[in-house]
Amino acid sequence: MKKIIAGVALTFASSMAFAGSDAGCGVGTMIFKGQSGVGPHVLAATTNGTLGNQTFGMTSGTLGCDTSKPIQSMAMFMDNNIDKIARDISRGEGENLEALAVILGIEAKDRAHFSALLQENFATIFPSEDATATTATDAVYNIIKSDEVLSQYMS
Amino acid sequence: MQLYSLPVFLCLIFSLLPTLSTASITQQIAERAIAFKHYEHPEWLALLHYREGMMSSTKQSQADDPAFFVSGIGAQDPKAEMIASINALVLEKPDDQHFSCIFPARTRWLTNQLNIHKEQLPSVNCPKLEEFRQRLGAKRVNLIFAATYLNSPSSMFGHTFLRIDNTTEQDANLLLSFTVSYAADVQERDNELLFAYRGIFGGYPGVTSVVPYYEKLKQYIDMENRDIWEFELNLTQSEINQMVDHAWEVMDKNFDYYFFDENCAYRLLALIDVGRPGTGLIDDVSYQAIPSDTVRWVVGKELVANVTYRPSTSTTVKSQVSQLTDIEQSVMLNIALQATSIEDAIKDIDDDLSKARVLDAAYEFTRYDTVLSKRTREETAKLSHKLLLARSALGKQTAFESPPAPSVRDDQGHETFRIAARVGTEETEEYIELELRPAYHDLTDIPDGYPEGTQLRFLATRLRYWEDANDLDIEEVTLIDINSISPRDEFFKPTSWKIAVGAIRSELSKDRPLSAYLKGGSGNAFKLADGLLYGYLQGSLQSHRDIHKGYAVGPGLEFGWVRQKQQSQFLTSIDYEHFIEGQEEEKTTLKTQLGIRLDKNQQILGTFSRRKSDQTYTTDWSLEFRQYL
Repeated sequence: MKKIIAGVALTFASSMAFAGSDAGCGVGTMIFKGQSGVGPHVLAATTNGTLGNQTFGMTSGTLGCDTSKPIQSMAMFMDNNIDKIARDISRGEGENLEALAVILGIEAKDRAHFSALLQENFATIFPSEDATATTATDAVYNIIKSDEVLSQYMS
Repeated sequence: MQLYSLPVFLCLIFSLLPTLSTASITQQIAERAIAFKHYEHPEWLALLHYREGMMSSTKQSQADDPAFFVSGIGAQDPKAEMIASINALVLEKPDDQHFSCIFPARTRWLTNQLNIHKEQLPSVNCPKLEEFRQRLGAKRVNLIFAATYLNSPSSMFGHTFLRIDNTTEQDANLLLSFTVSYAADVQERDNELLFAYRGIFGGYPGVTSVVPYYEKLKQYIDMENRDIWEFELNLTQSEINQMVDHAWEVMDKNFDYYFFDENCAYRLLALIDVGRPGTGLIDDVSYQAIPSDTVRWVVGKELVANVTYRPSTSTTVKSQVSQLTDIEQSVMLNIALQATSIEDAIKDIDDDLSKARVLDAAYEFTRYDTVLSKRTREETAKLSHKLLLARSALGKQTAFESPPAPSVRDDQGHETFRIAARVGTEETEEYIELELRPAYHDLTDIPDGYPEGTQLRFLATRLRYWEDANDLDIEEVTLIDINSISPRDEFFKPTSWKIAVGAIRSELSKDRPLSAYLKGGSGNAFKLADGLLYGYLQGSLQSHRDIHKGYAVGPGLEFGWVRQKQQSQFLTSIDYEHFIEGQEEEKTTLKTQLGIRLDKNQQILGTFSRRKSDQTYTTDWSLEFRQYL
């Protein structure tokens, strides 16, 4: 059931991404190649201003990101922070990896295992520099799902 | 007929009864409100954002949105607004549309203050409000301060927003917390100039937005490389509830954004004022609400329980590079600049910890370069991926210490408003000067709490009194003067730049007319003997009708060395301008300044300058006392 929800969430979010709301909730971000940091973002980011409908994304849910649902929340978080999550996974620790565990509801006692597991599977989650947040989210989901200790969190 | 009339009559009475009692309840409450003048209560005035109007007897709300009021004249009339609110409170409405769903903070205050009982009000459901409260799950509120960012006009003085945590644990993961911030709703196509204009004179609607903390961190920590200070506020749970409910009330309402006073920091003060009544934070704002100042006020009102430092990506990268050994540094650089493959580079390193240090630092360094657009993502994608892949094989390693927090926080430096008195001699003529500089920091100021090598002078005005001539003149009015001196080294290669615009006494005409000027430059800086050595290639423009043809423009050079220590501040520079268009003239100025700190907010500064304009030499000595307010 969750798998279907995840699929729907991702599809919906991806379609949003293709619709051009790259500042929002899409899951199409290229991890290593995606849009550059400076450039189009600078004006938006530095003017203390906000552009478009991002402001109310949280409350109105117009971007398809209902953050109260773990899987959607994970998709959104992954998409926004995928480069930092990739970095944390490679090190087997870090604030962003921990936040991912929080989103997935993984209890404190299982978090060390969760971090180590993802670190071991780095090559599966990010097989090449063309990996996207979508493929990474799917891979993380499958790894957790097939792990003895962690599969309980995905049922 | 008789038989039917009684039930019909009873029916009428029963149907009228609630209406009658509603009306009388309303009237009763309203009478009480008027009798005790509750509408003049500071908390009511704070909830509706009233400030004194044009005349002190009138009130005007700062909300620029009719939806923020119940009464049509509510924006100017706290009393009418209160009566209308009481009426709305007892009125039946569908879910989410009732007064108490739209204005929960006002509802809480009114029912407490006016002693309104639950039974007197209709039962109401507010599912949307409940969802909002639940999602925030507010248990702790933090004021977040993002440090000065010179590359953007609106962030030059720092930026503040609130973070709402759903936990009170100290080591909880806070990336998923929500933030509340107030910002100008800028249209995408507005350029910086239009932004500055509308920011100052109004024209941007201001909106309150709620987004996850990780999005904010991405913007400030990663993209803009600004260090962050987190100030945990010591609000009680009920104060937090009231603040969150008030955030809900203002969230989609328009408050026009003004760059100096009604800005991001100001609206947050208003939120805190509502949360903890009686702090009077808003009253501290006279004409400007500089974010770092507002942090000072919040700290001063004893609202802060804990302070946490969060280094920017650039601070982290620099710290990591400095923690590497010499050998590790050169291996790291070889990898990052793709001089050798990762495998070749690390094959001679024996232990995994050292490998991890090199790979981690190389990754951070590469990403940092990429964000600064020194290299494109296409170029670095493969390398980034390979670095992480190699790193993932090394297991968990404690590669680096986190960068230490600066010993002086941004809010602990000198105050931002500076007033200075100066006595001096130009050749043989003596003068006295008074300078007002409303914001923010000079290269020669006491450096604690401000980034090294930065200057941001804003609206600096100097009045000079010539003693012998008994003459009072405006010597300088600088609109803005920014100097960003960033040292380069083996790893980091930033560009230094400066820009200044305003009016100064021009040496291009005999009477030194007060002339409009624009001066800017770009260059490089290096660390040298505890200070920064810098050089600029610059351009100057001066304009006044007494100058030949009305203007002069030309290139120039500036070299200098600045050493900013806590106790003493030293700057020496030589500035050469060659005006070639309009009026032709060469001008060279040698200037040396030495400041001595007396106190956190007091300094003495001596200045020597020698100026050459064509064949005339002018020598100037002065001594000034600076007080920061």
